[in-house]
Amino acid sequence: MAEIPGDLLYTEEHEYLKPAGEDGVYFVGITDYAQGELGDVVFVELPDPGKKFGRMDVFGTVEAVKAVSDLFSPVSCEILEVNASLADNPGVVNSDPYGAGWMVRVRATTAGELDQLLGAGEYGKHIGQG
Amino acid sequence: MQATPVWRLLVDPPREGAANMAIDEALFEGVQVGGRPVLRLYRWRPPCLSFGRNQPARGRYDPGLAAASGIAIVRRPTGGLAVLHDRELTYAVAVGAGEIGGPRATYLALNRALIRALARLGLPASVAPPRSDRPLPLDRAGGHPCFAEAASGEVAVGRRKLVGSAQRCERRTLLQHGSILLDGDQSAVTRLQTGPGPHPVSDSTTVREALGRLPAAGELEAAIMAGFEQELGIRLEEGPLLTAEAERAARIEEKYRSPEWTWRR
Repeated sequence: MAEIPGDLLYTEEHEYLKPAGEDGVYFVGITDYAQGELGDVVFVELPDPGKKFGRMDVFGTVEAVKAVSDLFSPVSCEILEVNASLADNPGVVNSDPYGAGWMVRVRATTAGELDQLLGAGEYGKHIGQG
Repeated sequence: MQATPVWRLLVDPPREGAANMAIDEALFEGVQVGGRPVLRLYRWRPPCLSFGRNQPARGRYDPGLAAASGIAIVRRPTGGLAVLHDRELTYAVAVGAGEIGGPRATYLALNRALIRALARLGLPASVAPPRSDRPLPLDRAGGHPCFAEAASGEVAVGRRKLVGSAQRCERRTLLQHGSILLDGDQSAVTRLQTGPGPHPVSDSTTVREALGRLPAAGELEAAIMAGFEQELGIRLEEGPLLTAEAERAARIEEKYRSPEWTWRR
């Protein structure tokens, strides 16, 4: 069973949004289910800090062995920071997706978009769990 | 009774690397907007070195030496590592992510279809077993050749890789293409590398080596068509590249010819 923390929000494309301790600021990464489906992650392509994205825009790609997939922005946001440690250690996306495997830290730029994301229960149903 | 799904089949003449990648991408885009799944079979002329989408290549490969050797260079839209496309047959599949399953399920199903095709020729290939070690991060694997080792689930003869495949997943559509090595070797991938060694060498085999002969013209293509139809429970309908697709591919080809894309990393 994939881990689905109850206090995070999710997209149907398997990204999560996790409060980063400051109002309107979040960590974004991919879910435990997604990392399991992808297999061993060997590379994460991330944008430069300062870049802005609309909701569900592609903000980067993740490459597991042989397979490149898009990463979607859960909300409209500005990139504040990228997880630079993933360059040397992309495998942490597999081993700790909700912790050290975060990908970008963002500031949400459009109020109200969080309502369109899935809660843990809805995401669980989306992946056929629960 | 459920109707048998009909996929398009394109059997293409040999083309340059940039044109081949552009056509694969145009077909992929067509499926993204609701087109039928496609199987395309093709070859490369002149020989071409392809990099994976995210593979570090700048400063690691020598474009001058490649040009002097008559080898073109292109960067694929899919993942993975460097491949020399010369004496091989390439397959490409563009299919909706729900059609067969997710990326990994599709990967395994297409590899099983290829194994079935090779078995029809009398070539006993199998799926490479899972590896116990983690793959190297791409930035450390860097210039490694794709055929240096068989990853879990790939088509191999014993432990030696015969087919190297890679995927792109976008808007719930998958593009998977891969090289079925017919003859020759992958040593040019290592020869075109610059910088300090040691460069890992390929551990691959070829259809000629594994079968003891080269398939006759069209023989492998026919086996692949039958293997795909049987394994995937589909019917293939052969047809040409549509005019709109060819026009779209011609525009996309500019990207695959540009040094900005080829040497992006």
